[in-house]
Amino acid sequence: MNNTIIAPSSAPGRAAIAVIRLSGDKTFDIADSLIKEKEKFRRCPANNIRLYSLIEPVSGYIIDEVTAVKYSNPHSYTGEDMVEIFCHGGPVIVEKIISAALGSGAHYGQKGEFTRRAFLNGKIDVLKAEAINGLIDCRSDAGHRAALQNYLSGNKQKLEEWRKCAEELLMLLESSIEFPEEEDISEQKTKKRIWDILKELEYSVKKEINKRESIKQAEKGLIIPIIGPKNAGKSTLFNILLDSERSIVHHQGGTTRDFISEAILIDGIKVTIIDTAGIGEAREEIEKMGIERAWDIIDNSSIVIWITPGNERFENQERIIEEKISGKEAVIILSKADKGNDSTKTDYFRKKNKSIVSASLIEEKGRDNIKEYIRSAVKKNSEKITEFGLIQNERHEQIAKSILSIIETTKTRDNESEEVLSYHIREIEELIQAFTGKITSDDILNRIFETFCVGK
Amino acid sequence: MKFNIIVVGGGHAGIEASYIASKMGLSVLMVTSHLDMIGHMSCNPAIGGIAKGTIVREIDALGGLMARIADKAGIHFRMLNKSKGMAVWGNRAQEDRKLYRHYAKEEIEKSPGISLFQGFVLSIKEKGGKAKSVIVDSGEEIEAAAIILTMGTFLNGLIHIGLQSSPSGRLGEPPSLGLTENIISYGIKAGRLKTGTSPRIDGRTLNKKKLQIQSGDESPWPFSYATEEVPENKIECLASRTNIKTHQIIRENLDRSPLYTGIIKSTGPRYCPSIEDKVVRFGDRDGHALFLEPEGLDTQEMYLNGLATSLPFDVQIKMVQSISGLEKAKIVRPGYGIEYDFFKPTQLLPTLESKIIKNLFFAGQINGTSGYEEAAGQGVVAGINAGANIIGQDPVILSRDSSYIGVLIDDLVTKGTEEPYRMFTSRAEYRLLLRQDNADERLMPLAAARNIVDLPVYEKRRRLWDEKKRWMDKLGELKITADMAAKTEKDISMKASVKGIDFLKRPQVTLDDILSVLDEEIMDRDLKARIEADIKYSGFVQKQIDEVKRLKKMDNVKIPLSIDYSAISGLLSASKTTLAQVKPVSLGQASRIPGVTPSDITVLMIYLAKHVSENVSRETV
Repeated sequence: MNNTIIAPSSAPGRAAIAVIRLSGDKTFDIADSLIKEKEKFRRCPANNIRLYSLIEPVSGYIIDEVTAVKYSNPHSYTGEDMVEIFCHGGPVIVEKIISAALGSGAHYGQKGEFTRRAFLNGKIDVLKAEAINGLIDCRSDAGHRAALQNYLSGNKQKLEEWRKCAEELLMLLESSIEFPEEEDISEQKTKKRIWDILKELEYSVKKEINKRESIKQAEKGLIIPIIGPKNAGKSTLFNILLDSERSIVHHQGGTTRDFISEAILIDGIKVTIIDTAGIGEAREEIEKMGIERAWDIIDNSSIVIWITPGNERFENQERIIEEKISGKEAVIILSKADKGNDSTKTDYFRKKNKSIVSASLIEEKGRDNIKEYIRSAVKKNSEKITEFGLIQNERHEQIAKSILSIIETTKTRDNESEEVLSYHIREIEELIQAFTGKITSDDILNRIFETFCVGK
Repeated sequence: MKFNIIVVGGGHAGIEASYIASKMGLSVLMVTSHLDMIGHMSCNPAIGGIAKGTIVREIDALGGLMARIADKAGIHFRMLNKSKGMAVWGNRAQEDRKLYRHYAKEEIEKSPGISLFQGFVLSIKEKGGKAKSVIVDSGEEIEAAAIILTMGTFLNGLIHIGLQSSPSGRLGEPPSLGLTENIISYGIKAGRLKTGTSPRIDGRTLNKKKLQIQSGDESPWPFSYATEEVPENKIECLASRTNIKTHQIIRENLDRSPLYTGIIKSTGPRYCPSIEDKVVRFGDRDGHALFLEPEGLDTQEMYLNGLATSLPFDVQIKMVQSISGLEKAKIVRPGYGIEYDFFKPTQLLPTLESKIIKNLFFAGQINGTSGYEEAAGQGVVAGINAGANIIGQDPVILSRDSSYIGVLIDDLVTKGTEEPYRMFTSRAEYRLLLRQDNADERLMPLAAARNIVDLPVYEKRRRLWDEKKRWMDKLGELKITADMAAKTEKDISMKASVKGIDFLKRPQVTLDDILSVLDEEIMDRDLKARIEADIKYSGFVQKQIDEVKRLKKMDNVKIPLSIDYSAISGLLSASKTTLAQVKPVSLGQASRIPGVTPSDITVLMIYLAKHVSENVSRETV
């Protein structure tokens, strides 16, 4: 019933190696026609890799020397016969191999076709398919851990919980509709129980949405503002972290009036460093706005770098920083260590039990200390995200939000009659089922598979 | 002797099948074991209820009999669920059992083309895979183009009262023996079910002072669209309840209960448990409600609803006399349990025709259902389709969005049943579309197209629909201002004026509110209720209609009965077996079979598109 399909599985462009996959009933015949050492290929057992020369079947010209693995159905990704070819990663080579295969009767794989076949052959369910997409798309350590957890074990327990809520609600409503004359069924008690369960469900769905938010934050990467008084060395630190001279450094305070940001990678995590305006008395309107912006940025970040000259007393407004950063991971740097040390500042931080790093930004040792310190703060922050939710992608988020909105409208209409309430709960139930792909329509399936790159 | 159709059985399925076939101009022979028992109500003397009442109206809209007989023989009417929305209202009437039989037989005898014959059908004969004839116990072979089987609980019926059992179709009537075995010999699979009934009490022995009175509605609603006059409540029902003493008597005698000693092995209905079951399963309860329902106007017999039992007669007496108001009550007929054969309904097409023998139809309790209404609904569909086969018309397949009868038959032929199947509103996913009031709009046009509904009734309904439309248009254009809203004295805050339709959608507003503001009146309460319900549900209904349209596409993809599921790669192996057993007629039906997964359906869809060409339509119904 299936065409045999071929498509590259690695990203386009030049690389050391490119991967091409073949899947379908005629996979072995087509691979056979491309391989020079036919006997070797035929005798090669499944799941084994061999070195072959690939040829253009008509002319017999060699295209490339490749390695290839045979998979026999149903023990393959798609559940069909498959061959994976590892060739040299030049776009022309990939193209030549694919056109040779097309000439031998293969069809070019559509977007997401391999995963669609895996789904149709019962190798994966929709959640698994989406978890695979999550694995490929994740952009952070936390995102990776969430996607891996979903890929390996799924997250069906929460769904089961929601389904049970919906089931209980329907049970209550339906019993009151079908058996109005039974004395066991009291309308009053039923209504109360319904509101209780709805509240429970609402709380649980909200919690999942919040978890998703924190993962999304992690996916977006961290935002770390550098804050502190004017002329504390914020821009110097910014440039050190960027290893460039991007920020305008000037010995006069108040140079960075708005803010400058740049993304860097710290241990594989995308971190956006923001050089903010110096906190302190503003002389001009524009500077005042810069300071306002700095406060906003602090509110929206989970890690801050607070740099303050170690040889000077606190600026008036600097104490506000203390409040603003409570609950956040803070890297406190006492700069200008080469210029001496004001004990009131050191004592202040010691009393608050804050660890500080005292360094001179013009010395290499100080710079390394600071970098190490930031690295450990980033690591600590990402470990905070340990709870991975059910919601893995936009589709899930939409479903959860729809459930929430149905619950919210239902709650506002407490004199609605049972059959209408039941109608809404059925809507919720169907939404829950859509998570697992149980009653998903073809339209949804198509959309899911459209988000897959070819050959995944 | 040769007839167009032979109907075996004169119960609620049998009379509807015969009646509708006669309306189609066909000659029908009804073979029944007892001519005086045509239309007999074997269990409680009531017609309708939630969902069931809607089926009765659907039967009426399709041109059937039940609603008209129930209106004529009804003696106590109540619309259930009136505190809830109209989509779940259900009309129920206590019936005079004797009058019901009287009117049923009268209608059958009045119908041109129906012949009657008292006897037992011993076997059926087929020729070339088509139903050919029946052999009756007097030895005759009677031929017909189609045969409709409606034997109820009579097939190998076995009545249990205590540990004693006796072969019976109903209390006091012999069972039908041998026919099951004959049908099985054609490769049709049978199963066994159980149901029970309550003792009947002599009404003169009740202490009525101690019993609560249950009155009918002040202004009852009839079942039939043809009934012009408001039905009359002629009697009152009474209520009492069991108590700890009753429960103790039951517990002490469980060793004499056929249910709890393993004598009855077949499955009974969970929604209608015997009193033994109630006491055992809900041991903490100190009482269960009981209703005393008069059996008729000219009898003292009362049906003790809620006390279905198969305990021995002496225990039944003790049980009954432990109940308040029944201390001196005399049982005139004991309650009993009955086991009977049924045929697995997944062996039927949605027309109720056998997939194995053409022109052989099955309807009613032999398909695993319970209830007069469920049986009658199937009788109508079997009658229409047997007739259609003979005349050469297209079959009538009622869809799940058209009627409860459609839901009932689709459930039966797609999922089968493990216990006696009763209709509930929650079985219908399009419940808000399938109201009891709008059965005429849903089904009458279909019946009218086949000339099986009375024309004057149909014309009258059409006038009501037109009138409804006129009012809906009017309310669509009407602007309700804040001032007008204030006049309704409902607690409504409105900033700007709204359309009359949207105003009525608010839960607390009624059509009467708007009419009083407009200073208008609608005299016809049917019309008023219809307008109100249509508007109240319109938002949800539109969504359901959209969904129906989407799913209809799946129902339109036909699957040939001859398809070889084992040859389709990609189907789960469990699904291959299930699909091969059920043999769904459409992709839609396949998708509703339990255990068949969406990916199976996708595989099947691709397979059908590739491998099954235009000749599909000729192979299927």
